[in-house]
Amino acid sequence: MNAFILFLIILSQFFMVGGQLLIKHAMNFTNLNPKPWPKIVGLFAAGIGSMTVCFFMWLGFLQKLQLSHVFPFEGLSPVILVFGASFFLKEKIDRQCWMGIGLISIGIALVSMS
Amino acid sequence: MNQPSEPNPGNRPAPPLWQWTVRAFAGLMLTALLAAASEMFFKKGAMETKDLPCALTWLGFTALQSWWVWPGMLIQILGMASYAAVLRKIPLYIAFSFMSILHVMIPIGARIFFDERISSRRWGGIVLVLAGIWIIAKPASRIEADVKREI
Repeated sequence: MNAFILFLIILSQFFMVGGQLLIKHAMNFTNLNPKPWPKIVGLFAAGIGSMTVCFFMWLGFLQKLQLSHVFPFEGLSPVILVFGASFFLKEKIDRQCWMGIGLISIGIALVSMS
Repeated sequence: MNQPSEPNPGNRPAPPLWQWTVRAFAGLMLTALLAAASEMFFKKGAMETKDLPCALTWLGFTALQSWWVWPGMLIQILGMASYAAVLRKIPLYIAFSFMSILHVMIPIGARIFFDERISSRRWGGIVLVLAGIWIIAKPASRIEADVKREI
C-alpha cells in the first residue's frame, strides 16, 4: 500500500465523519418546535453528499484492495473525531484517548504492511 | 371527584431491565449483521467491475453496474435505520463500542466468502484497532455529543 492510497483512505474517513456529524446535527434540529426545515434539509443534504463521496471512494478501494485490508481503516474515524475536537473546540486529549489513538495507529500500520 | 385521565401512549411505563437489555442487544446485533452483509455485497460488486474502464480510477462509479451493489445499498440503509432506532434507547458510547465487533465479523466474512488469506500480522493489527476503539469509544462519543451542541 503506497502513500497515495493511504492518503485517499484517510481522506474518505474525513468525509465519513463529517457526513455523520452533519446528519446527526440535522436530526437534533427535528426536536425543535417549530422545526427549522431549511436548516434541517440543508444539513441533511450536506451530510448525505459527504457520505456519498466516501461511499464511492470506498467502492473504488474495494475494487483494488482486499476487504480485510481496507476495513480496519474505519477505525480511524474516532481518531479523526478526537483530533477534530482538539483542533476546532480546543478540547484536551486525555491520556486514555492518546492510548486508544496509539493502539489504533499501530494496528493500522500493521494492517497497511500486511 | 376526579375525572378519569385519558390514556397517554407517550407515557407508557418503561419495560423491565432484562427486556430492555435483550431488545437493545438484538437491535445492535441486527445493525452489525446488516452492516457486515452490506460490505460483502459491495465487495462482490466491486470485484465484478474492477476491470471496467473509468476516468476517475479511485472513485468506484463503475461498481454501480453490478447488481450486487444495489441490494448492498438497501441493506446499508436498513442498517442505518436500525442504528438510529437503537441510539434512541442506549448511550452512543455503548453502541459505538459494540459496533466495533464489525472489525472481527468483516475479516471472518472476507475469509469465508472471498477466500482472503489474512496473515497473523493483519490479525494483530485488527486486534490492536479493536482494542483502541474500545479505549477511545467513551471519550469519542462524549466529543461527538459536544460537537453536536457546538455546530
